[in-house]
Amino acid sequence: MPLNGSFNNTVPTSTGYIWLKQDKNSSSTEVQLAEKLAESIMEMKVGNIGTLFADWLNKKNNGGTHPKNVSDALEAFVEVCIGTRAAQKTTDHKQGWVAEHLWFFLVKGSYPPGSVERVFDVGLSPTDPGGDGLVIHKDSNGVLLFKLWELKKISDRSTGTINATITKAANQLKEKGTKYIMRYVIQSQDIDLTTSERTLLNRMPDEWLAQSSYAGGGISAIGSSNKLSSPNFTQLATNFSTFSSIGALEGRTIALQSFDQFCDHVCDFIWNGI
Amino acid sequence: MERYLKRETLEAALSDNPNLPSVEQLSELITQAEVELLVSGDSVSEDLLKVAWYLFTIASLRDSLDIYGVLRVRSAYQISGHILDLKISNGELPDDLLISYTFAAQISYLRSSLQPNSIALFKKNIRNLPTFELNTKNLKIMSHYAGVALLGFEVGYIYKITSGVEDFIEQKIRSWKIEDFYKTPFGASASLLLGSRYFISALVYGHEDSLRQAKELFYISVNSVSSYEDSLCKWMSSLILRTMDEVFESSPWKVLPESVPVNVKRAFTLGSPRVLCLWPPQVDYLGSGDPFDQNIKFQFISTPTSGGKTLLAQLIIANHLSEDFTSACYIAPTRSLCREVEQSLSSRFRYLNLKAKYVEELEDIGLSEDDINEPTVHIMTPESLNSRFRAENNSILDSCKLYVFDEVHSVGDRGRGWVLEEVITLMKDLSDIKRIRIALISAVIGNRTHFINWLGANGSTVLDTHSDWRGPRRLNAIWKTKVKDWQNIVKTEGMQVRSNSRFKERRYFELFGSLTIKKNASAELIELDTLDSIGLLSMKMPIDPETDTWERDGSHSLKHNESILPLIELLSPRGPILCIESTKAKAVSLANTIAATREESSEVETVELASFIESKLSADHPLSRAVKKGVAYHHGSLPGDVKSEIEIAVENGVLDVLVATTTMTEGVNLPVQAVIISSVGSYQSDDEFIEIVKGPKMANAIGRAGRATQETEGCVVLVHNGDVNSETFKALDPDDQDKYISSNLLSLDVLTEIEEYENIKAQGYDAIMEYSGEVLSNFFSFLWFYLYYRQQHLSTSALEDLNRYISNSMFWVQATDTKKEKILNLMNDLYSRYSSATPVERRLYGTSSSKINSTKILKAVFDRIKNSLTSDKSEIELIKEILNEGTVLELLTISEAPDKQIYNRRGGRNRELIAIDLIEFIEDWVSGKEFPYLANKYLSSISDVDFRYEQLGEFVTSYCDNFFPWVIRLFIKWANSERNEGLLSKHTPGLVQYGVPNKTALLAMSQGVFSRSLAIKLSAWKQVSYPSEHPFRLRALLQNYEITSLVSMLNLTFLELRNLLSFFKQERVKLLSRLNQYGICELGIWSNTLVQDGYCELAEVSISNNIQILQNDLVVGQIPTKFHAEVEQIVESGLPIKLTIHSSGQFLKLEVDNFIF
Repeated sequence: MPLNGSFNNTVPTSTGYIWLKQDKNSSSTEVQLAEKLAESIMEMKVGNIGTLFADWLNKKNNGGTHPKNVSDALEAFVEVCIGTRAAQKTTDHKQGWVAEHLWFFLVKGSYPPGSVERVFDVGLSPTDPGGDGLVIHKDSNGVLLFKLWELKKISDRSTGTINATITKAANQLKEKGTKYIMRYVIQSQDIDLTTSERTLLNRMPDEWLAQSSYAGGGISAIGSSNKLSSPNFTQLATNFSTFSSIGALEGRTIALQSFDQFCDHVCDFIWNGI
Repeated sequence: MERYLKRETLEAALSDNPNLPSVEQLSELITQAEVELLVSGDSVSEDLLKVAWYLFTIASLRDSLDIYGVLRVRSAYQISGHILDLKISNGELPDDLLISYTFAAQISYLRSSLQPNSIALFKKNIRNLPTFELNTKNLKIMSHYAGVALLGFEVGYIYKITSGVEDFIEQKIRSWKIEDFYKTPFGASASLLLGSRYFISALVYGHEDSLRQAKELFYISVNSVSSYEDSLCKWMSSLILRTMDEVFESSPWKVLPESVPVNVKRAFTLGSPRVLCLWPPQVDYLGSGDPFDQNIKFQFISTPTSGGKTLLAQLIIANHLSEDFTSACYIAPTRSLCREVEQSLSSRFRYLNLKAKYVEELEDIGLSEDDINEPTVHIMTPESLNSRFRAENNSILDSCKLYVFDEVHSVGDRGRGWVLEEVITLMKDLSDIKRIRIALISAVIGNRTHFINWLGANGSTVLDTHSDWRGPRRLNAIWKTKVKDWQNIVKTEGMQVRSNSRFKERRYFELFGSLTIKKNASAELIELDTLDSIGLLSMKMPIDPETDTWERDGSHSLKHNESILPLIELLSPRGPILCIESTKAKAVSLANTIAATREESSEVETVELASFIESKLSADHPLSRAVKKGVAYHHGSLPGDVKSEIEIAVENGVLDVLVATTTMTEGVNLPVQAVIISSVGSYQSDDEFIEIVKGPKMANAIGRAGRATQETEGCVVLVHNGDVNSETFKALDPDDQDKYISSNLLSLDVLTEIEEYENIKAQGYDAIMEYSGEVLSNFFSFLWFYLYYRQQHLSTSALEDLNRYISNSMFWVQATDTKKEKILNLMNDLYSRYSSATPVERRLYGTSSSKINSTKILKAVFDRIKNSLTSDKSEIELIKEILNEGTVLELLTISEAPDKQIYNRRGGRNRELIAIDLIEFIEDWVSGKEFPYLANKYLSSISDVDFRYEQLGEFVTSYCDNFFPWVIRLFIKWANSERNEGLLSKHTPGLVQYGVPNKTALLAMSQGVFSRSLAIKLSAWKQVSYPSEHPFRLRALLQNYEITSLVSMLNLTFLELRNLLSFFKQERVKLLSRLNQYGICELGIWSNTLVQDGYCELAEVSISNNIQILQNDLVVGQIPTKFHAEVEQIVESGLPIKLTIHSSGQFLKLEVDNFIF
């Protein structure tokens, strides 16, 4: 089952924006979710390199040892992301990395079903610190729209409030949105896109600037459910008051029981397979 | 150029987009950012950045040209580059952001045709080129650095940082047992790294296959699925993909015609400064016609300073020497510029085994050891070329077929302008008969069509280009002082009141510094005032305010020089500053004021320079004190070696502030970050204000602001005390009318001269022979030579020839019929006089480079003393025979003679003349006595140390540098022409010119040693160590020693060693030319130990050691001194070189890795 199948999607009432609440459904444990995410990540990273993904999966599931060539390769690929088990990257870094990937796979899974055309690569922006994402949607008439996302993880140790985080993210999106769009637009110039996707891509800078009906913005907060209660995404609507089309603005919470532990599990699963 | 961003650029970029700021708003935002950066270092607002990123993005779309059009795309890039550059200049970005912002700004500059700024951004922002251990963890950061280095055309760094990457990938494929490394998460970074290497190889070697491979790699990088987290790599690769065709299309490989040999093209892509991407004016010019075509006889290139015209000249010359197999001449107005051109051409031409040689004004002084058949570019002043033409056995017109005249606006210089015009006219006149080609170059000519018409006279075709393009933008500003509040009287002082007094008291007011700049795309001015007062203004208050007015009291107010100090402080952190002063005295005074406010520097190079100047000018000389504080001045009266070292020091960043007269900006190409025009003129004794810094001089001075490929912005500030408005800024932007160049024959002086001539003629004198006015007598002399030349070489010398000659002149293009008539009448007189002359007279005046009247006087003196000029006499004895009590006074009567008087003080009623025994002085000078000795002996009664040395410098320049050597040369020539044996030593005049005692020292001086003391040291060493060896062997003898031995043996200072190495550089040892031709060269090495055949490395190059050869980290040998310079140049080229020892440890082979023929 794809990762998003393990999450409940609810749309609580909100004004001026859509709030999509995603939290784990009862059919699987959080450890299982972490394992699923680890698998998705590793498949994306090494799935097209010979048998490396199968090798990793096998060791993760069954233990044992890899031949040196396999362990060297896997370690090299993972080391630059989260470090090795012996020399881990900072908790902040690991959590950000896991949160970005979780968002990526959930949004890719599409809600409402069939509405997502393309989710662009996640990654740290070359022009500013912080994570962001870009998604092309299709509306009910088959017209392509895009939404620029600001992603925020909230660790269990965080003392800030969810709404303070949202306000910060909304301001960041307003301030840096043009730069984020710039990155996606430019680095996607030479990838395979459909004609309508390319047309939209080329129009994105202008549509974003005009806050037109083709553009939208979103904030996603990823963390433990107790840190995500009663989010208010109003700041998004305040900052982007001219985004008038329905669904142009979206707040999304991705809640886990314990985000910190979830991240640790994801990393552990990844290291287990090396 | 008032401001960089013009209104039309902003309009085109914004295109009335309602979601962007208006033109006015954006202009305001940008100006605000510039101002903030200038005065407080604050940076760019987020709103402005947003505009920059938007414009950058729309311009970077694959289909941007179709969607937005060329103009909008280019304008968008120009603005985004400017804003991002401002953001970077703030200097507070963390490393990762610095790289991405720099990269985006580089792309913007490259794609808005401002290539030098892309290079400058790399040099400015990525200062410490980091090295990395090659492992998977570092691939990403390495690729980011490779990306910015690629757009900075930093060949050496790219080869270095990508060295071994292919092997690394192979090794990983083997050890990981994978099929494709590019499919791994490292795919994007590895392919960006290698793509950069291939692309740089494509640019260096013009190899289309490398370009194709590079493209494939960048494409892989963008599409590497597993590298989804490596967004910066992908972003960079995508942008490079968009840009690389444009860059390659402007490379020498694509722009230069196929007829230009490959090794000539490679000399430019390998040599220094490296040319991988030609600039727009160069591309336009090369695209407008074929300047290399032998049938294109006349070319005119007019671009601003830093516009790339020198490179065009280099290309034309290199191709000529390589293809035509005849020589070329490069003519520049000053010796300093000639020396500079010689160095840059030599460095480039070593790759082609071609020779560039500076030729002294004194024709053949017996120092040549050249193979006359070897194609060479002779670099000389117009006077030197003129003198060469007039030599008895003149062969220059047969051996040199290309003549490049740089700074050709000098045609308009009073006096010597005609010398330049007459030689160009001669070339033009003989161009068909002698198959001669001419190229004229200048940055500052307003009436370009006159020059094009000049070259095109009589139906000739002219290839011409003009462009206002330059890389670094220029910020023009006006600095003044002002009183903000006249109500605020700081203090009041009573004045002594007598019966005739006008004033009763002084009132003091606070003065503030005020910098006015223009807004972008607007005529609106912004005035920025200093927060604190910078001094006081004193006003004298009248006793009777009803009938009298108050007056500024200069003696009690802030001095002009002091008022500039806050400006210096403001601009200093941005880079070196050049202050232009109108007179030498003002230059010295300002430098001293600036120096007084600064601490002494402990930097080694500053200390070395100060110590050198102390040795040349004494410790109590103000220049010595100023230099210790990073400040210097530069004017025509300083000794040549001191000037040269100051120029080098500014170029190397050793000096922060240089104060100079326009002599320097006219004579040396010394770009700086900021130019301050401190004064544009001075008051003469009759209180008349003479404007000196104007027109071409002003254009040349401000052209020095902003070093292409070093920085993206230059700053020009005019110090102006008065009202500032838009008109004031016009002084900083001389228009075509200000830069109008006129033939000397059209000057008012010449009209006066014609009247004088007519008067002499009317009185029945032989006017052609007697007239000695400055321009006309030179005119007569040259025409006489012209007729004699035609008679000797072309068997015809008719009046029609003269008429045709003058019709080929600039004068003819500009003159009215009346003026032409006057000149034609003079020519008739000249022709009549020539026709009636005896063959002896025709030859005498036709081969002398002096005026006819002067030649007559000189010949009379010569005839009196010629019997005493015998070959048994030493050089100094010959000099004394020619310059003695019975001759000197008469020699000084000719109009070419200087009339330099030495006074005991700068001015005042009581100043007195100081008499100097010229003959004794010249004897001391030739014996090598240094300035301090001469100053103390002859000018000790001048108490002002600086004035003492200034007078001495002017005295030496006037008598020793030019006049007496010229007379001695003429006398020796005449003496030798009258005898078949017992010939007199031809180099004698050179000893006076350079102030050295023998031929060995003279040879050293004429070949790159600019320090007299070093030249004398070298000759003394040779005299003791190798007395029987020929002076020509000096360099070879020295090169037998290791550099460390030379330092101890000759007791060389750091600066002397540097000078000695540049003397060694003059010799070509053909390593570079072989490397360029075959990709491989070899040399015998020095070693005292057993060296194993096989791989080796070179240790880091140091000035004080021969380059060491290492095997297994142990020194096993060294590069012989003879090869040191060229091996150093190979190392500097940054090419990946494989080094192998072979033949039982005797030879070192240097092979370019992957050299592409």
